[in-house]
Amino acid sequence: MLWPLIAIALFYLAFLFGAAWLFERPQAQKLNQKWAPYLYSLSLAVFCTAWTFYGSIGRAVNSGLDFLLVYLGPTLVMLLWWPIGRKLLFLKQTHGISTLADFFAGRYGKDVRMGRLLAVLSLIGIVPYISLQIKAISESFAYLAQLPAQSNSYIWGDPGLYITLIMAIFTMLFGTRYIQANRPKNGLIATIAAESLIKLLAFMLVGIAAAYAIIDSESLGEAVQQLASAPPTYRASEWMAILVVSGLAFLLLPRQFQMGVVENNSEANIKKSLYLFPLYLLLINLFVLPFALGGSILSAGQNSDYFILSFTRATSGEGMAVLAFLGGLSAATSMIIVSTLALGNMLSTYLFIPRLTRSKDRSVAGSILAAKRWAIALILLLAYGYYHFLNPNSQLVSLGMVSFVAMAQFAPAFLGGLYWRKGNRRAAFTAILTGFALWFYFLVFPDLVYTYSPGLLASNPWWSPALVASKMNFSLLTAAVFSSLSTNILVYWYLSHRGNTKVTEQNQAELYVSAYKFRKYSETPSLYQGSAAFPDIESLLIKFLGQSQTRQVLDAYSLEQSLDWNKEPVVDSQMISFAERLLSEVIGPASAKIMIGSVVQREELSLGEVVNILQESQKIMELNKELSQRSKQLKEATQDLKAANSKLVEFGHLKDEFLYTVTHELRTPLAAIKMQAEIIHDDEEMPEADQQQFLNNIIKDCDRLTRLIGNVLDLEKFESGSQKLSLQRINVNNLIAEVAEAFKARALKEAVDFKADISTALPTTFADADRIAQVLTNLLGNAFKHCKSTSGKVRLSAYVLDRVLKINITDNGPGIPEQDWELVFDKFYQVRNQTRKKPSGSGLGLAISKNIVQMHGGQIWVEQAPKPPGTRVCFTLPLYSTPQALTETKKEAAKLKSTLN
Amino acid sequence: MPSKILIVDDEINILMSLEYLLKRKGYEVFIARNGQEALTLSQEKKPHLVLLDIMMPDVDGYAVCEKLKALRQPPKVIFLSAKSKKSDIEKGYEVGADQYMIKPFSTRDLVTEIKTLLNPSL
Repeated sequence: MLWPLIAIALFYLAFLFGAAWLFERPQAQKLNQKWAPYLYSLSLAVFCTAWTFYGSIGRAVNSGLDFLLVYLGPTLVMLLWWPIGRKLLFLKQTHGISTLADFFAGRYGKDVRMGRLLAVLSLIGIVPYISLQIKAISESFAYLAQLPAQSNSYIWGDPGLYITLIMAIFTMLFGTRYIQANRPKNGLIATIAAESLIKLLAFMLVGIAAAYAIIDSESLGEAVQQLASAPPTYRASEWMAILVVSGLAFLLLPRQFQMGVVENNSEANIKKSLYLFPLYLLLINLFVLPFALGGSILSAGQNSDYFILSFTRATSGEGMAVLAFLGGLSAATSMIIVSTLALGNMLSTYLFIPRLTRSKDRSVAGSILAAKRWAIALILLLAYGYYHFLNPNSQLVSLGMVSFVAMAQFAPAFLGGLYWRKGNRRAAFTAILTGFALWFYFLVFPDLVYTYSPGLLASNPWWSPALVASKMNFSLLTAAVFSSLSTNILVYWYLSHRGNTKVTEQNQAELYVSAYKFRKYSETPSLYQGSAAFPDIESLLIKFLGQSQTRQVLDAYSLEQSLDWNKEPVVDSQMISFAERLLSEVIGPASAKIMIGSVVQREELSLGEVVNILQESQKIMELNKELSQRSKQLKEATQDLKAANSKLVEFGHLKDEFLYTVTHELRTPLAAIKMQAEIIHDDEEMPEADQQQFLNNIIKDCDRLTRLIGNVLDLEKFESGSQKLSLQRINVNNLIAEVAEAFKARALKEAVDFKADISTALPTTFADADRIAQVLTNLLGNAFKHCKSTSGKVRLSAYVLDRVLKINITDNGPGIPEQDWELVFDKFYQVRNQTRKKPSGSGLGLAISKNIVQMHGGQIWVEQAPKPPGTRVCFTLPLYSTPQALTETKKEAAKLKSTLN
Repeated sequence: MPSKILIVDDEINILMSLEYLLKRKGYEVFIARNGQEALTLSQEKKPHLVLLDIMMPDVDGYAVCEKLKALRQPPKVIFLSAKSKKSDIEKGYEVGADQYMIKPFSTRDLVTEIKTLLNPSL
């Protein structure tokens, strides 16, 4: 059945190309979007390779249920896939990550060496694995076609070769469609998903058939018993090791990173996969069970790797066997395609493209695509060569596990890179190398020795990894896993705590670990201060993206940012960051940094500065808010100032007016004096009696002038605050009596009815006796002046109420109109109110009295006389038992006043 | 026939001194203590010249001057005031005063002014 099988295989491969082409078409865009979560979940099943298809069954046949661990690991990792996968998706979108190597290079300081290490080690770890897939295809084909065992010399008769070639073409066609390696490739995704579906369906059908076959078997019960009671072949430590390693491999295998991160474009896909992918694993493993049972019944020393084929053919016929073969083919091809693509991108980015960046060509976009294709061809060539010439004879499972352990060495630096700021490049580099050295020693070295120099270990038994492992009481695999990973972690941790990291590294660590802070690339802080000429950036983009793509992205960018390149020949740091990301997608972050650095005059910012910039943009917003608030306050302040100014102007006017009034009041007596003196002087015949009269008048006017000047000075002292009270304990009764005594004579002379009714003994208080006497004199003087000219009446009364002394002075004059009750205490009130009777005083008495009373903490006011008309002026004096009490009260009053103002 | 002069001021000392001075110079002198009194006396006695203070209770000097100048035979008016601001002086001339003298003034100048105003031919 050679030719039908060839036809079927070719038909299947044609189907793959067809599916890829169909889904790649722009018309399929809607369909792709609609099915994206399912396609994504299925494409994650690229994890299940020919190893799953053939190896698991081989394993189950030989050792029972151990194989489940390899799927339990990824299932556990899926529990954490939401935070991890989402963060990786974010990083991919914001930093243009296309491979695991890009992640490492980007995270650890945009360093080419880091990417190169990842590329080379991945190559070493994965190429044998790919070659095993080729081997699985070849051998399963040979088995079904009943060809003779492969002879190494007859290469052209090997179906594996042709499959490899076809895979190379497929990968180049559908994997390198875009120069940007991280752009989702719909055809590829759909094909891988379809292959996952095919292998699941094939497995289920074949498994159901197998189940039917063994259910009739008489020895079923015996087989179940045997399976259940079979002693586990692995010890607990080994179970643990397999669980850990398969979980980590699920994260870090290049093909998993490719399908799980690089080809993903939406968080929704991740969400769906959280349960769909574990479900897939459950289903595919469920149907291993019949084989595990059937194996113990029917196996008879056959190659257990291809047991599924022999068993299916024996129990369900040729057709089912072909179906099983197709399942295996789909598993192997999907693994080959995706692994090769991922490795090819790493290899071209870190080994080929750095050379291209030195090219003087205007555009190397074509060369980049070529480099990617050459890398794919090279990898498949290596894989085929490894299979064909070294012909590894290990079982699929064990070789797959070796590959897993290799990939697990990336885990500490990977997880540390995602979540630990301190993790640095030197630590990551050294840790990975150390881990790989141990991996090599335990898992590769023994095979090499066995193959090339079997006697070596016998003569030097202490070199033997097996001996070391047995000393640790571990199997070789367990020893390899635990020693390599623990050393790896230790080195990473230790070196990360030591030594200084460069600025770029710190920045990158911050950007990766705090990925979500920077939601959009344009929002990420520019890590450089500097600018570049637009033509330089443009030609750089053209060089790596090609003319048309460059036009496209620049047009889109200028539209989004509303920029005009013709008007703005210098690009800012944001544009530079944008260009750098575009380049990263094509040539990786490390080369992109170098290329951008070649055209940009820039200064890298320290982490502190980046954080500052972040905070500054925050601050600027706050500042803006504060500014508008300030300007509002300023406006208010201006208004206040205006008001204050007009008040000042008013004060100025008042001052001028006061001065003018004072001079006016001085001029009047002065005029009289001068006039009289001149008259006496000029009139030689003036009678002596008249002369005496004039001289007398002059003396009176001089007195008046003196009084006026004294009052003005007094008032000035009170108002400027330089007037001090000389406080002493006074007897209010005595004080009033003294002042009243002076007025009694005047009352007699002017026939005024004057009484000072102080019936009770008033308490003593602290006050300035002279000043209080001045107030009483002023008020009494006014009362005498303004009382009725005939039968005038003046009364003085005083009493204490609530520790406050109140003194009233009442006359029976015409009274003061109510609207003037407050104004009378103004300076020269009477002068400015010319309609009133001209005073014979200075016009300052009440103003001075008011000042004195207030200085004592009291109040002065005019109120209605008990029997109108008439005037009553009242003032109060709080009673103080100590001089300090007065000071206190005044302070409080001042405080109250300032708060009121 | 001596010229008639009316003196209007609320300051008793000034009033008395001026009265004494001008009487000794041979004028017929009347005195008024406020604006209202001045107007009544002016209509009654028809003085040739009025010496007028500005700051007085009831009617102020400016208003008195305006009314005096509105009379059929308006007297000459000399303001005698302590108001020394330029605006006050201008206002004095605006209301028709013939002269404005700021207190304290010289009696000799005043007498000269009075003579001049009463005998323009001199």
